[in-house]
Amino acid sequence: MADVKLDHVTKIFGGRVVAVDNITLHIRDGEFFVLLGPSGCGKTTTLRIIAGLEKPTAGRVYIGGVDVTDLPPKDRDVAMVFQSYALYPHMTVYDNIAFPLKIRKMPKHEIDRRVREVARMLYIEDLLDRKPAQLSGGQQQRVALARALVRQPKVFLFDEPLSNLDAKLRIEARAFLKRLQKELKITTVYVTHDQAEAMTMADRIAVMNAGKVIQVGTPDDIYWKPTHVFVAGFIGAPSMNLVDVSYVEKEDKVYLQGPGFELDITPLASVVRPRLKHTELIMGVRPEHLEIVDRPVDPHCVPGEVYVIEPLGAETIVNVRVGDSIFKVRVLGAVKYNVGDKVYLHFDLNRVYIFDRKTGEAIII
Amino acid sequence: MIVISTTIAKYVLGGYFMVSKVVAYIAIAVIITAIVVGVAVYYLVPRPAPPAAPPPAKPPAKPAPPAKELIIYHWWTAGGEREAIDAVFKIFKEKIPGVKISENPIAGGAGAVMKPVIWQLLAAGTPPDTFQVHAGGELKEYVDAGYLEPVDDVWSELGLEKVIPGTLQAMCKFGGHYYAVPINVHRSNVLWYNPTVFKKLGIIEKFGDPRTWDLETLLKVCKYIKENAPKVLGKTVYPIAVATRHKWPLTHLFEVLLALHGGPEIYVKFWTGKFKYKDPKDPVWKAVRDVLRAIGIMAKEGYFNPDHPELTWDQAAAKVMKGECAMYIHGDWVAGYYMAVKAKYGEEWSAAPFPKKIFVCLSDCFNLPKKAPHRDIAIEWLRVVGSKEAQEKFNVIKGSIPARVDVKPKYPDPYRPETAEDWVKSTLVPSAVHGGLSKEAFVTAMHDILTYMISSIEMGTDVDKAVDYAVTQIAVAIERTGLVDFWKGYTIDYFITKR
Amino acid sequence: MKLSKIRYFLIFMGPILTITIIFYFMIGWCIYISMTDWRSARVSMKFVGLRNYFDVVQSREFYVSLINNIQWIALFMLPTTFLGLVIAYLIILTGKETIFRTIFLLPTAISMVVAGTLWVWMYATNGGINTLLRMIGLGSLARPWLSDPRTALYALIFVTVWQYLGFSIIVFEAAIKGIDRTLIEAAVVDGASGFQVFRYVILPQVRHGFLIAVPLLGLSALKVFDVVFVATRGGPGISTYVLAYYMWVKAFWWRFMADGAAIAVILLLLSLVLVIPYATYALRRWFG
Repeated sequence: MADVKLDHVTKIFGGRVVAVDNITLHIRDGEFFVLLGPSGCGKTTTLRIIAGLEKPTAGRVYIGGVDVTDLPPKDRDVAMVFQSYALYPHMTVYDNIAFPLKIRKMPKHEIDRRVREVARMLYIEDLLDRKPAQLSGGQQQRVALARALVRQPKVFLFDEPLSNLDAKLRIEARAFLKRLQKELKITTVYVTHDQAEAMTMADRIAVMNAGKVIQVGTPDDIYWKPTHVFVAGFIGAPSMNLVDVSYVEKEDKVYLQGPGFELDITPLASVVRPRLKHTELIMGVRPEHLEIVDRPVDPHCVPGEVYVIEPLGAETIVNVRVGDSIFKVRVLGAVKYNVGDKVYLHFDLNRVYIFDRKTGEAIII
Repeated sequence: MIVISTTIAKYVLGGYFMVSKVVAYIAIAVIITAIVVGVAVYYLVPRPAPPAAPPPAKPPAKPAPPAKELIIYHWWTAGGEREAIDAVFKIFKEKIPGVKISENPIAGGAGAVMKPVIWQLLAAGTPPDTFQVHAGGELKEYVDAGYLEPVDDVWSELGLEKVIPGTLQAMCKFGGHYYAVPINVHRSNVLWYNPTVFKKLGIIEKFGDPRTWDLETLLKVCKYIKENAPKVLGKTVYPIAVATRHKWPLTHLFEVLLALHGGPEIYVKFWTGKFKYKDPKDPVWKAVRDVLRAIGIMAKEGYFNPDHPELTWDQAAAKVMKGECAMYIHGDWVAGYYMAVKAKYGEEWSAAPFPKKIFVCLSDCFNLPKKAPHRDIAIEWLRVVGSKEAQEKFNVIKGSIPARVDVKPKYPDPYRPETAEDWVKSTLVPSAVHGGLSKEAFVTAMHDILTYMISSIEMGTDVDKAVDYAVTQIAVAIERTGLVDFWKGYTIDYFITKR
Repeated sequence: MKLSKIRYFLIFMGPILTITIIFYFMIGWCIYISMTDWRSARVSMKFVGLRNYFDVVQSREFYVSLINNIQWIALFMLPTTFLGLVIAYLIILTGKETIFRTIFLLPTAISMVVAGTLWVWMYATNGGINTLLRMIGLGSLARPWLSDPRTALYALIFVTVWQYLGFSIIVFEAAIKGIDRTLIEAAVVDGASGFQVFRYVILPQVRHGFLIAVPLLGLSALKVFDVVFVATRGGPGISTYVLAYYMWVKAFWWRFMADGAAIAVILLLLSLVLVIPYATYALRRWFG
């Protein structure tokens, strides 16, 4: 049981490529912590730094309060599950699981007890005599998990462990993993590029981009209170509508002026105005927070035209063209509109996000 | 017809697809055995030496009418040798304008590499027009195998019997017919010494002219040099240089010492197996034992340069030139080597026939294989080889002397005039080590027996014990190699030109 | 479709069958010659049974050669394979593979004739190795490597190790690189030391490297000829005789073709003893 701290960690490859850029994180004891980001964002490198497979160029790593920056992996008491599972093909499932114990010179009967216990827990008891090549993807994944669990390490590290499974298995495994982690209460760092995995499993998420941590928070925080336009755009499916707008004051009203439309945000003016550094902004609104109406119900409506309709069964995504921009709108059930219909989009101002176009930072949360 | 063939085709095709799995198994099995066995066979079945050139593509064996071509194999590739044979080619081309000479020079001392290639060509029935061979026993092996045609006509036409000494005639003549024309003569029994070392130690004043030494004197000289060189010259001088990396120079030493100590009759008896080799009391054994013991003492007392197993004959010659060794008993191609490296005569090297009264000779010659593709051209070639002009030009450059006694070139070196003189005055016997006598199998066995003997003595074995062992090994080798049968029907006088 | 298939079948199987037949014919021919009395320049095919085998086997040279070949196999194969594996691992660890691979491969590219001559100079009494030993103050270790019958064989064996090490390194480098990197990383995270990674992860997974290297190296040790021919001709005495050289001497210098063939057949049998168990093992592994 231990927490993990990264203190101003930087990793530069080959003197030029900055993979991890000055990251500071605190992963709490027993927490399920997800590193989320697009590929190449440095999340796997961060995980490997925690594992000890990469040495940070600068900064320190602490596990359970101990500085492990200069310790080799074997002295860190961490266990890792790889994307490819990394099962030893020449060993049986039993030997694979027993391997970490065997090289620690644990007594044979103790190894046997632990291997069988963890195999029972993961429902792979009857596979123990097989070779990895004789297992399905899901079974291999459990064996990899078993090999990590058997040592009862301080920290679990997962590197996209579910990405090689098919969609159905992945959803099952997601729940299984989460429950297991809650039972064992082992600090877990989990790397994924799949926001659904992150949102469903994580206690907290760190969203990363270009080697930097953009935002750390609970799934709710990340969803509801994105501090940065990148987080806003990355989380949610379909992703948030983001439109370049300008801040305009006319008479006693305040507008966000986009290409070919204007949105009245006068009620927000008192919040926005003091935080403005300039008038170049990005407006964000999630598809689920827009409403299509036949005629303007209040001043916060803009006229548009139905452009594309994408029915998904339980819900429908309607693309509405407003000026030169397209807004995706999520509608529950079927819609009564047809392509080409003239409609109005109604904005709930409590659900409109405004970001600084230069820094990407949120102006109102 | 068509019906039948289509039926067969259908059957085969159908069958093929039905049994494709079986075929695949068979194919895999066959390929794997082929590879396994093939790898093994490729490396294990006798084949010519790896460094040897592959048997060159033969010109079409069919009688191509205008083919004025001579396909010739020889091993003269080193400096001096190359120019010598080129001079003969030049004469040949002048005599037969437009002739094309297809040379196949295969490097490797004394034809060690070329001979296996020739044997293969002959066995395959695709002989060249002529090839270099040592006169004597080596030639006889080809004659016995029935690969060569007699060349009696060339001999009588050129009148060679009148100008070539009896021993060399005998070395070319088997079963009453001549089978080769000799081009040159080398002397095997020469003592090369460092005159500076000799002068400082006063060897000649003390022991007389090396031309007259006997075996005992040689050992005394060795002892004297070994003991006195450090005092007089301030350094160790090994009395006798020898080189055993290719083994044969040691057998060469043995051959010369046997001629010296045993005389021509015992020498020929030993190398042809014409003695009671099962009887230890036979006088030949006594002489052989004496010589072996002398060599054994040389090994025991450190008269040989200790690095001999890593040297070749020329490196041993160099040791005498540099004064690291005092003497070297070797053939007269050593003179060619000294001249090539520009060693100073009278200062760095000098030579004495050893003994003077015997001339142990060897000779290179050319021949006429049966089924030679250009027989007439080959006969023309032999005429050139036996001619005065070619013998003169060739030998002056090569460093040997002409086989014909009526060719008297002007030699640029001080050594050869004496050899040429001895060629007509001394008693002649053929060299066994260089294919003139004996049988290659036996000589090869001798290489191993002798090098084993000195190696074991140098490792501490008692001389007499090592000699005894060598003698039993030699007796076994005479028996095993078929030496006696090989020379059945020839008397020892046949090879000796007594003078 | 069918026609083209059968054509491919003929194109590939035709030569293979021909070659196979020629190989088997050669073996049969060799075995037959080994039982004739062909012991001179003249081809002679009189059947004499196993006489030549008895003669050969009873000879001192055969005994020495056999012992030398066995020593050669043992002292050549073990260091060459294991050094090859270890060096390949180390080369990969350094990350400077191209340079090191080139350096180690260079000797393999040199012909044995050149290499043999080169090493004769190196081993000479005043040659490279002894000079070096004297220079670093180990003059007492300097010895005439090839002139001493006690060291000559081992000196020659070392030359073949030197020559074949590059081959072995290439084989194992490829084998190691074929291992999934994450397996090694997984083992590292699981707590394995560098040696344990080598022992438990790399070694078991480069078996196919051994599968290739061991029989080939074993065969080269069994058939070794050129270095002996070039460097010592079996000397000093007969201390570096090997079977292939003995075969050459008998067949081409003695002109005892039958005896040479008998040695060849014995060599073939020995190589089959070496190869067949391995080939069966390899097949079983490859075909499950």
